[in-house]
This record gives sequence, C-alpha cells and structure tokens, in this order.
Amino acid sequence: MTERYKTAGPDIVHESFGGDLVVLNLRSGQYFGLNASGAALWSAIIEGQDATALSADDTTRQMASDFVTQLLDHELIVRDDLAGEGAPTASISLVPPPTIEAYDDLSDLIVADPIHDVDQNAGWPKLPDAQ
Amino acid sequence: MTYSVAIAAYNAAETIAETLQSVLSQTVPPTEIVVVDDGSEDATAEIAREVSPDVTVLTQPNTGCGSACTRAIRATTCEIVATVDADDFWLPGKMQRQLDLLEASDDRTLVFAKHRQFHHGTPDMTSGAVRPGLTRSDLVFRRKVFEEVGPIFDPPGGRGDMIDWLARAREIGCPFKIIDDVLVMRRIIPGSLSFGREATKDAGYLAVAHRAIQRRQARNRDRQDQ
Repeated sequence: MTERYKTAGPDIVHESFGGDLVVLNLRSGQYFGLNASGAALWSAIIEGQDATALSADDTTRQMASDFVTQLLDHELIVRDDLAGEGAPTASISLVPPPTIEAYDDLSDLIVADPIHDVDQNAGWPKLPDAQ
Repeated sequence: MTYSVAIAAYNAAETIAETLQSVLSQTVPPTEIVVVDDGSEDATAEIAREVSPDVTVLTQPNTGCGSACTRAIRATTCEIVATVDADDFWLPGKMQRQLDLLEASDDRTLVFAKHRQFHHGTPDMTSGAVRPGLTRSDLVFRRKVFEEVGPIFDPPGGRGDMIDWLARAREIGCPFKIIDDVLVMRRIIPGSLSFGREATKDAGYLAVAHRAIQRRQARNRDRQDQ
C-alpha cells in the first residue's frame, strides 16, 4: 500500500537556505524550520514519492512515518494517491533524525502585509489591465 | 507635536497625489514630507512636486522599497515620523489620534491604526474589509526607535520588508499599539491577488522567515554563552 502526498495548496511555499529548509503557510503566517534530514524527506514527499518507502530500515521507517504525521498535523501536506505514481522512490538517510520547528511569531505581520504589487515593470501599484 | 512624513514611491504616478493630499489635509498637518522616488519610470517625482511646495522629493536609481523608505525616514528631521505607501491614503484625523496615543505611551512604542481596504478605480470606500493595520501606511514612531531597529531590509522579490522590520522591533521589546478605529484606507489593485502566490514574490516572505529563525538561533546562542 503506497502513500503519496502533495503540498496543501498554493498557500504552502518553501525554500532552501543553505542547510535549512523553511516552509511557510502564507494564509496563516505560520512558518517552519526543517533540518537537513527533514528537508530531504520534505522534498521526496512533495514530489509524490511513496512515503512508506522513504527509509532504509524499520527504525528510520517509523521516523519517516512520524514526520509525515507531523506535516499532516501542521496542514502542510495532503494525501494524493493519484499523483506521482511514476515518481522514483529514494532511500533517505535520517541521521540526524528529521526535525520540524513551528513558529508563529510573524503570523500577525504576514497576515497583515499588503497584497500590493511591486512588480518591476508595473510599479506600486500595478494598474488594472483595463486602464 | 510636530512630525515628519516619509514616503517611498515607485511608479506611483496614478496614486501619489491622492496620498499626499490626504497627508496635507490632516487636522494636524505635518512639518515636512519627504518622498523618495525609487527610480520610477513614470511621472511620480514630477507629480509629487506639483502637489505642494512643502513636499521634498529625492530621486535615486531603483533600490527597493525598504531602502528607499529608509532613506526617506533618515532625510526627515522631526522626532516623530509617520510612513505611508504611495498608493494608500489617510483619513483626516489619523495623525491627531496617533500623536495623542504616542504622547501617552512609552517612548519606544509603535502606534498603528486599523485600515479599510478599497479597490483601485472604484468609489466604494465603505464596504471593504477592515484589518488591524500592522503595515507601513498605519505606522507612527519616534525617530530613535528607527535607528535602534536599523534600516529596512529589502527581501528578494520585494515583499515582506515591513514584516522583517516590525518583527525586529518587536523582538527588541518595542510595544505595539493599534488604535481600534479605521484611520487609513488601503488600496487593493485588481489582479494583484494572483501576484500574491507568485514564487518570485513569495521568496521575500520565506527570506524574512529564515532571517527570523537565524535571529532566534543567535539569541539562543547568546543565552547559552552567558
């Protein structure tokens, strides 16, 4: 039985900064810091790789499974068994164990931030196309 | 109480006159207004100069909203500074209310207000969503707070500069106070919502979040060293 996932919509964005992966929920303003093992798992999971086959042995399989549960609890991924059937399954080293830290100190600021466009060509604001 | 107004503007020819008129029409008018035109390709600078001889317009090659705003703030001289985006506008009693609150507050307080959203090009100024205004257009502060927090950082893609600056202010203990009335109108541009989920722009928010994580790690290291 395979388990495949995708990110929980366009509000979930992520970027790698050196060894750190940051995942951000733009709608809630909550953000997450993942260590290198967590980042490797995240990449494989959102590519649609089978989450039950991401780790090399029983110990790390449980770790990977717990990590998937955390991502689900934080509403960062959703089950998507239809997608990614052809994606390769990789075995990922989970040393050190994957971690994900959740932060909400920026939430009120991110939610309040203007949606103003600062497009290079259009300026602030971008004018309606009709004008 | 005297105050300065600092405005960064980029290609805001359509809107900056309305912004400046709302500043000049305050029941407590500003002592000075400084606009930094951040390399606009339109008539932003000329229009700003035409609105009033009391508006000082500085021009520079495009550097980003945060650094343009930093330059505008540093070019002002009053102890109290208010900022506003070049497409939003203030209601007439905005500064009076905020100055009263600032005077009654701790020196390091950042005073905000609520704002109501409106759609560019429509006359409807009453039905838009009301939000607690933790944004540049709602903000009033004392100059020394700005220098204590430091310059506004421009994240890649241009979004999130004020999130970063306000987060840094809060981390060093500056109290936030939000007046519970709508004192600012925030312009929403049709079509801009789709830009809200554009990867190159969202990169700014992610960079700001990463900077917050790095500051937290540095604070934790400092604590361990003590």
